[in-house]
Amino acid sequence: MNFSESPKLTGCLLVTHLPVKAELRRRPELASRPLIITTGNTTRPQALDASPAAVGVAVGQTVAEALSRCADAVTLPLDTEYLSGVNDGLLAALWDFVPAVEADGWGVFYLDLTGMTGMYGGTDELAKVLLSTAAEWLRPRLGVGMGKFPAYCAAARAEAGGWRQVPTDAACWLAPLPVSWLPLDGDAIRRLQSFGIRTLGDVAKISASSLAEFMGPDGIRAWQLAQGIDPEPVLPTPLPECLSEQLEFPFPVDTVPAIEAGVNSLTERLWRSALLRARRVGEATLQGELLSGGHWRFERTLRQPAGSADALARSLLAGLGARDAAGGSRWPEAPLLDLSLTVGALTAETGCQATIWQPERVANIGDVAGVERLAAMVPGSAMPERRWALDASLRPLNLPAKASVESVSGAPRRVKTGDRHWRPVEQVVDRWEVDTEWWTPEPVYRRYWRLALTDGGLLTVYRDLDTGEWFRQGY
Amino acid sequence: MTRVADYVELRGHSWYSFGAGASSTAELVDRAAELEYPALGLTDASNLCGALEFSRQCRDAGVQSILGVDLTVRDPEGDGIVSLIAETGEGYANLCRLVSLAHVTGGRTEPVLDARFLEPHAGGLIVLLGAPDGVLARLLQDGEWASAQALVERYRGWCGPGNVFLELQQHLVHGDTVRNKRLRELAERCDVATVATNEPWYHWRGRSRLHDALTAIRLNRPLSDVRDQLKVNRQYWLKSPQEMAALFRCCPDAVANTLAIAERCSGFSLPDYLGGRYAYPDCPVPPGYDPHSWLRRLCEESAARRYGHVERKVRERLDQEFDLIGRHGLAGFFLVYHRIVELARECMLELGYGHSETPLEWLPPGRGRGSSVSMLVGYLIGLSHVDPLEYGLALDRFLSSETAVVPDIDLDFPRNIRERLILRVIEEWGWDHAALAGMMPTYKARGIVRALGKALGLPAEEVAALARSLETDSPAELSAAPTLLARHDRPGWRDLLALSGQLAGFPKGLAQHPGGMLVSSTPLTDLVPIQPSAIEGRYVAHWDKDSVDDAGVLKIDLLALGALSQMQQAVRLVRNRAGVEPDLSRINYRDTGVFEDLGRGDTVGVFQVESAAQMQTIVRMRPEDIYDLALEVAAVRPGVGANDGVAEFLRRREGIAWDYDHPLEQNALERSMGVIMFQDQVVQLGMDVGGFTAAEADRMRRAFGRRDGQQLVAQYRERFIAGAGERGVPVDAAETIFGKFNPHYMFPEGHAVAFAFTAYQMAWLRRYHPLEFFVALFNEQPMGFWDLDTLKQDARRLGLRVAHPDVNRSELLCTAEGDDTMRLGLTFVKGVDSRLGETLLRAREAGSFTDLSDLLARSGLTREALENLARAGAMDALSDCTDRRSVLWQVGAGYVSGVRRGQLALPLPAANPPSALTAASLARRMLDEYAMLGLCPDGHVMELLRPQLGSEVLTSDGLLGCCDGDVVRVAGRVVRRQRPLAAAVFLTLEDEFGLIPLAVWSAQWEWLKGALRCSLVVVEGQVSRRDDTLNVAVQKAWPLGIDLDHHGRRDWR
Repeated sequence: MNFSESPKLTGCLLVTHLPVKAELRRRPELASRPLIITTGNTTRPQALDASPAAVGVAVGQTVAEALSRCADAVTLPLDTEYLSGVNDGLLAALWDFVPAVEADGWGVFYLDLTGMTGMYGGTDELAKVLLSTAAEWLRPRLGVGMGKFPAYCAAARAEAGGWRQVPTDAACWLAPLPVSWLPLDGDAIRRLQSFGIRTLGDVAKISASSLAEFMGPDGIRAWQLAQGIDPEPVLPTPLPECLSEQLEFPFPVDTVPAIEAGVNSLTERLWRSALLRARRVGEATLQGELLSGGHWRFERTLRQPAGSADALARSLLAGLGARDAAGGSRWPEAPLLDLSLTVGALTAETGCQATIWQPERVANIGDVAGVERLAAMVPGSAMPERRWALDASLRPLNLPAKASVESVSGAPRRVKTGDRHWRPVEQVVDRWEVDTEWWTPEPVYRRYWRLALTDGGLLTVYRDLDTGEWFRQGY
Repeated sequence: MTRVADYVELRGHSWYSFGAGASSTAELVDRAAELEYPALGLTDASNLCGALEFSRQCRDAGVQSILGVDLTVRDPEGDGIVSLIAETGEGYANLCRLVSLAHVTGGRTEPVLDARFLEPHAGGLIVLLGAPDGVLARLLQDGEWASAQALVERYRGWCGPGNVFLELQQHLVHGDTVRNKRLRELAERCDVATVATNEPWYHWRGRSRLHDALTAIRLNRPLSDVRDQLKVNRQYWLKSPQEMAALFRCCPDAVANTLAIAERCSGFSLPDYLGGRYAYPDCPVPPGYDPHSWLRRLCEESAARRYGHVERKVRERLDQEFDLIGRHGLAGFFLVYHRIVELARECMLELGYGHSETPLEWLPPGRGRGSSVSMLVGYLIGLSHVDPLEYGLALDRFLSSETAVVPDIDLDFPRNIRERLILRVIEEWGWDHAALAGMMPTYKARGIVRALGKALGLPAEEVAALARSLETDSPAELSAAPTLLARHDRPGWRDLLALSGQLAGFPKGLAQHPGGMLVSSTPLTDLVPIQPSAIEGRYVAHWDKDSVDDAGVLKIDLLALGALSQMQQAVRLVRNRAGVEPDLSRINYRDTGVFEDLGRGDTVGVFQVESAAQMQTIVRMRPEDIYDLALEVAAVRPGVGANDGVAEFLRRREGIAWDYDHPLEQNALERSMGVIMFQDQVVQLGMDVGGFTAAEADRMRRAFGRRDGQQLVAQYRERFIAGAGERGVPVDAAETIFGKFNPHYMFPEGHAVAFAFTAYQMAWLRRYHPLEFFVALFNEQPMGFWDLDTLKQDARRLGLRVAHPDVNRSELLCTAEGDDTMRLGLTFVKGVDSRLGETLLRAREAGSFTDLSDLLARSGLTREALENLARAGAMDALSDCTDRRSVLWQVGAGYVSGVRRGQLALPLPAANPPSALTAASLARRMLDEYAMLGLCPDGHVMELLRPQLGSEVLTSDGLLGCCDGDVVRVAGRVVRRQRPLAAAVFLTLEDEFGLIPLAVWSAQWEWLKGALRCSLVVVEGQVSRRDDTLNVAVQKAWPLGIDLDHHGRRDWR
């Protein structure tokens, strides 16, 4: 059989369980516990990856299913941005050494190694260099073969941190591997297995024409792969169009000037990168870890892409100073331990439109709700913060904020929110109860009060009847 | 009882609000009584299934019942819930009609009532508007005051000014306060009153989670997916009047109006309303006759045909029966049955069975069962095939001079006749006069695990495994199931464990009774709502059999009996092959050969005596005539076994000394050697020992079977012992005798005799026409006890050959070939239904398939169907199909290349299979056959496995030579597991030579059940030989593995 293109020497850098490894890297305190990474804040989150300690958990299970099998497991929603950062970091590092890199999902990279062994003085030396592009904690594996599939198989059979090369007689080397490794759909695999075809060797024994007759194009591909032939070239994956910088504060920071200084510092650092030369930034994200636990995050899509560190810093700080759609503050609600800035949507100078608006005015328009897409979470939820979110990142609206309430016989008498003074309650306008989600790890039991205050304001507060804490909430 | 409450809950919901209501009617009533409610309303969703039960319970608890219903009503402004309450009998009848109309015109599963139907049916109804799910609440929320006002005025116009109330609810849900304020304002504008309700969905707060879970179960989705359908809090319990008064402090008139409505409804009581309202359907009689004289004439004419000469004893029995018929006014009742049998006969003739010239009683289309078999009148008008005089069957259990309830007559028919008959009966009387009784299947252990597991989002395969692991379906087992307890500390499973106890016994919904029909001359829709069944043309009433009993309505049980279908088919096959149709009513009923077969336990596939337990008893009983067989049929019933009755009866029959517990037992128990074998004997003991009248004794017997009968049984016990004392029976003897009664089922004597006839006829067919017997048995599956593979093994033991299905020779169902071969039908292959089978048969009309290419090109079947046929061996006989794996390859290749679609006009061969493809192992072929057919036509899995077993593992044949106490090892396929009311689990192993009965004591079962749940096992145990029976008492067990790819490649044949 003739093939239009002969396979080239190809590498496969494989990092198994990247989502779990990445999370454990930044949360080492979880290392001793079973960990499940889930699809995140969707209606029915599913398991995406699990640590070996999470016995019984399989990819694709719902979180309820997974937890019912491994009750001690910690579940974390997939932090796409963080994981993309780790994956892209690997991609970028590989691009520094290899002329063409193809990213194929989390932790799988195909490398065009044509002519590179000579450059590095042999395959062994090249492999060491390539493995060194990934941090040791990722425990990468490298496979080398004539084509992507043989290289993948070699990587999958390599020891963690090691490498393996498919020998010249690839078909023979691949023969014992199960047919389930073939990149075919599950139905095709099951059909092969039903004929007693269980290994790639079994596939290789059958004629290509028979397989083609039986399975069509899938049959030809299966036959080729079983012979160690993978004619598909490495398709280069471009580097992501975003950059990131981070700083750690020497002590927890919660003052506006300190954060402003941090933002200025980060923008200046970014503009030192050659990637931003003659380019403008369309999106920016600030985030940091809070002293109280959890993370703070602020995203901004710039109407007018920023062409300098100063312009970006001004736009970000203007956005932070404005109120959110629910009237709340956008500054971090607790002291920050660190701060990072990621910029994306990089455009050339020509991407900048002329405008009659002053830059300050543009920043204010960006603050108006509706610039971001409104996404439905659970519109019928009894909890306002679970109904709607902004943007694809699903930042919930109407998040409750802690409040101080003095009550008599359970009914609020005066209320203090944010840094304001105590506000006496003139009248309870309404009260209601939410008591649901009992089947989830976070049941909700709240008693709400709609209050008319003596200063003319109307306010909705609730008491968490499990913890006794009071919160204010837009309803 | 004096009540202090100033509030009445009008809108309770019970578990008959299927998939939402989380308390039984009894729990609601008990709680209402505790809270000192003077009255309680029940407004279940779209049905009145619980109305009669609720009324009875309220009466017993001293609480006034108020009946209503929540209906989805379609107004021009939209669909929403409206609550309708019956103030009077007229109102109740209207309620029934409206609910029926909502189902018939609006939708079977989600009934909707067009609001325009309210106007002509509003009499006697009180309407509540304004609940959160109603249209009015939505209009007010949207500020559409004009529309809201128009809606209220429209309802007021239909129902009358004082009959419409605006309903205020305060569940502490966001929006309740505003809605109530607007409703009060609207009420003022429209000059209507308000009324407070709490719309409880459970009787105490602790059931709120069950309410949520039921909602998820109803919607068939996990809780997380139905958040927006759940209540936002747990405020929907039956609150005390004080709590309600506090919630509605600002509108005391709304609270006071609940009492006013209760007062208005106090004149209506459902049991009183139903009393005397029902009338048997009309049955026209010729001029000059009344129903009584016409029935008498029919019987006398039939008696002359039956007996030739009507003897004195026949005449006396007829006199006795007609005296009772006259006393109870039952002539019309029997004429209705006669008419039904005539209709059934028409169905039978339409289906091509029987002859129109044959008198009805000679070839009745069905057979009576139950106690009605004891009526000579029934025998003469074609309701039964048993002559009660010949078998000395007593009347009392069926009909006595004091009978208060409508007698119960059950009729069995072959399935095809029965399907047609139900529609014919509805046609004859109309759906508003004839409908099927309802039935409420309840949640049992496995169903609970599956339903709650899904609702809680637990792993489906783990839930299924847990459900499978439960040994019985008894909910009581769940709370102690080790597999569930082991998970009690895991999220989700903890909730499942907690909720399972609450869900046990809940009705799942309204289903149709297997065959109980209600027929009435007054419209049924004045008594009970009727709704269309899932099967087109049928209608179902909102009463189950208990409510039908309570209402005193005639229920005619038209049941389908697979054995009759099998018999019907076998007789026709005999006629097709031999040219003569055997008349089973005239065969020799004392054929020693047939009784020898029965006495040997050679009864696989024989109606009523084929189970493992029956095989064990029949070899000890060794019946010699029909009455012996009736005792055998009756013996293996839970009600007989409950007191060790079967074993005791067998011991006494074998000669052990015995005596009555009191001489007064003799009259009732003489024929069964002092052991209670029949329901009639319970009635007779009630009369002879307890001094009850026949009717009272029968009520006592029925009390044991009622779902809520414990209290009633206790009352009867006291009366029985007192009555026995008056007859000189010592208390301890009376207690012993009463202690023999139990709630478990047993047969009436006439029923047992009737079934004994059928059993004998089947045994006769099996002995003299085994090929037709097995062909019909296969074709009528599912039938009873054994799976197809066991039936096939038995057919082979009788010298028959079971042939693979064949694309060129098979029909849709199994057929007889020659004198000894049964050819399996195409529809026996998994995935080949009758539609696909007919497609193949149509293609075959153009000529047999010559080879695989021809089959692929012409058959018109799906790839899956062709592959399944190949795996089942249906292509083995094609010229080029020697190896099934190669055939499968070619079928797959045919689909890719388009051969199947006839795109290649030339008769090209199908794609050649690759030479490297290894032939399927024998084990693989066999497992494919088991998977595709449920049997291996010409082999047994143990033939394959035998070589890997040591010589110490005996065959079933070898076991016959063992002595009592020998420790043996045997192996086989587990074909049956049973756990009757005994301390042991009974299993049946099947090997290539026969069946091996196993007994596993409970203690052993606990640690052996893992292995014994596998389909293939080796067991070690002690042989128990007693009274011609053989058992292996299992001590050890191991699963028996099968290596699919490394078993011999010899041709299976």
